Amino acid sequence: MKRILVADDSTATRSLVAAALFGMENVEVHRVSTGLEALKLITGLQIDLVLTDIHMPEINGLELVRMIRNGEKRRQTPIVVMSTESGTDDRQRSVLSGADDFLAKPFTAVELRGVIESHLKSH
Amino acid sequence: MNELLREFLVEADDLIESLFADIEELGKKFEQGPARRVLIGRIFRHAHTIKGTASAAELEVTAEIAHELETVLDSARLGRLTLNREIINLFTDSTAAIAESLRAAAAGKSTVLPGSLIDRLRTASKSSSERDAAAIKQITALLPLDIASTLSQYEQQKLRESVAEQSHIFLITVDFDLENFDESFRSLSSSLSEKGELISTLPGLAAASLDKMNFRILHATVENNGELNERVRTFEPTAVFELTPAPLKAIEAEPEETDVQDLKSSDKRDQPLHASTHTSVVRVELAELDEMISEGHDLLIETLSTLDLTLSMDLVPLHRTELELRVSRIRRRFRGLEERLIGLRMIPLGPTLLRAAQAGSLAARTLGKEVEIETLGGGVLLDKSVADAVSEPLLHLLRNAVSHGIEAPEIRRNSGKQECGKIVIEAVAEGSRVLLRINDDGQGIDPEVVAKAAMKRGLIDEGTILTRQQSLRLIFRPGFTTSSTVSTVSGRGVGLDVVENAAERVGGELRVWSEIGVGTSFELILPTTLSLVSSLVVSAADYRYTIDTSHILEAGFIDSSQIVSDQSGETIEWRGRKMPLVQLRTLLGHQEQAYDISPRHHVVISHIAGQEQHENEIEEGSVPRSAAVVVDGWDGHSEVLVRSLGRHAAKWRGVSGASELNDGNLALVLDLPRLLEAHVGLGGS
Repeated sequence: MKRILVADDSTATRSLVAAALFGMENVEVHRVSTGLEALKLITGLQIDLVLTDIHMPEINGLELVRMIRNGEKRRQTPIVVMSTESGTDDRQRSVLSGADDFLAKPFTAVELRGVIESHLKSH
Repeated sequence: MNELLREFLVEADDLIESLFADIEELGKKFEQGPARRVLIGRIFRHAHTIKGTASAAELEVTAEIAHELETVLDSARLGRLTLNREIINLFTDSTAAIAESLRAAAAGKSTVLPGSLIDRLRTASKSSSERDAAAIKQITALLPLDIASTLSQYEQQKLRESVAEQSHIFLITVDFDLENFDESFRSLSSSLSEKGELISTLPGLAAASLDKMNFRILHATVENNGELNERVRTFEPTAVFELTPAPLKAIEAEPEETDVQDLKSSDKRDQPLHASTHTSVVRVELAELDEMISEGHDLLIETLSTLDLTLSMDLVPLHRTELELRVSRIRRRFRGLEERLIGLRMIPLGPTLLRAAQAGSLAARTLGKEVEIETLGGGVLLDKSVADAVSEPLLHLLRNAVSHGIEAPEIRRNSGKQECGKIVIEAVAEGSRVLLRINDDGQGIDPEVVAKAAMKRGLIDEGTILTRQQSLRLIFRPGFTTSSTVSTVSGRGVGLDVVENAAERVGGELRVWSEIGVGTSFELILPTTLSLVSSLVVSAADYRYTIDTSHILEAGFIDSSQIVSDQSGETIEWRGRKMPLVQLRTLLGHQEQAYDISPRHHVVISHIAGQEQHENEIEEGSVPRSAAVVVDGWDGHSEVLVRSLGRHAAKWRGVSGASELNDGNLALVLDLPRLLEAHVGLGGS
């Protein structure tokens, strides 16, 4: 069983992602709405892939990526940042912070599955 | 209606309600920095969410309005757009239009894009202008490098505004129990938000133990060091660093002064720095200070040349004596003033050393090594720009010492050492220079292994005969490595050449000594300040140059008869030691001068970079450590203000900058040891 953590402050996006992943074999989706909640979950549970938004309260997505990459455990967990490219430097910042991939919103279920499968496989 | 759309519409209702509330609040508070940033941040996030989910739900009209609104908000949160009543009304209208388009979608009706609103939004985002990027750069330059490089534009902007608002900037390091770190973080963050704002949350450099979560919080607050410490005391922070930089932070005014002056620098004209009315302290930017130093020096030169002109006139002896006395007094007082101004650029090295030590500890933990790292000389002062330039290279040296120097615990045990390795980082002030030493008690560097690896990589020719010191210095060559695998700690493709380049760029140098099985010592030799250097002015082929007197062992004369010529070139005997003789003209690529045109020659004795003798090292064979350089003449000593040649300087080995001579002419500042190294060293003739 692979556990995927979805961090996004929009309930609709969380549902969208969960719906897109529904039917993927051996995948369990955990949803949280802030970076701090994500960090909390990760410290207690073996997570195989993190899918995170950037703009979130408490701790944002990029801060979350850095915290995970610098942590004692789970530092190798694949992280995919998802965000709308809004003229700022989201994509570049994500990669610099240590994310493995960047998924531009809006994305289709097929794109999302493709990205997730490739990271779960390569790991 | 599909499930996603239904869910989005429910969520959108909440978002719109909160948007209206936040925009109304913003209307009341848009002139208060921290409150404005919190509100704009939240409004941006909510608009962003609406845009993302609306486009996923294929609600194009909603997504388009949210997109244009987000663009304007982005400009506002990045400080490119100044908020006013009109813009805030535009936010309200846009939110209303989004709500309208969603109501239509919920009712299953189609809508059209509100053209005039979109036009207004586009005009607003166009009217925004790029703020001075240099100002942001100046502020991020104050931060520890690992933080500065990860800050987003938005975070940089928050920081810039906070500094302009006279906030104090702190870096708070806390260890929270893994069990309830989220609650602790929340309560710390809400406490901090009472008087300030969190700029960014970063991972710590080193957690105390596995059952802790370590955070570093970059925080801007109106509270001072004492107040903040009191506030966070119950959270038991491991460190609270004030990052408000020393030169910006406080320049002590004369005690008797009651009035507070407001020094504005040119690029801050739209945000005057209001000094607090309760302290006799003003703030000034580093660039402004540099200009003042430069201006003061120019004024001195102007004054002296005017006085020289006067002295060249026919004067009554009594007047001449009086004038000469005054000239020397003016010179002395200017010098004192310059020294005081330059002193303001100095910062203590403590935080820099501590950060290097933390990086070393982190590397040790990652590699499963035990290392005790000690820092000494944290009170030593160094020019801020020099300290900044070597701060990252220093981290690299530390990681390098941990990964390549210190052995794994079992190897140490087997060779009779204590399992825990020891690294000492030491800063020593030595005249006009500061030495930064990193000593480890690790395995040492084997010169033979280094030479073999360099040959294998084609850095030197097969069969080249090298001294111990020359072999060791090969580790500074670009692309040098002895290990075939790249470690995550120090093998990121940045070698010691980067450290050496950084040192050279500020007019310093990097040295290395090592003994197999005993340890390695790296020494960064840095000028205390970039500004004022005691120099010897020399001439060669009608040009004048200045040489840092700390590079000169001796200056004197030789007779032509003392010169010995053989097939390898000219040598002389100086105080019983044989050393190569070379003309400065030759080093600089000018036409050489025959030695027989004059019976006596001016020589400057200098050591050769890369050939220094270590106190513990025995003199090796016939390799010269110093050389005599023939110059056409000299103009005596002078305190010169060295100006950097910018990034080009690094390309010209042996030239460390330009200086203005007392007559107003420019002269290049020569780095004699390095010029000699290029001449007689590995790549030399």
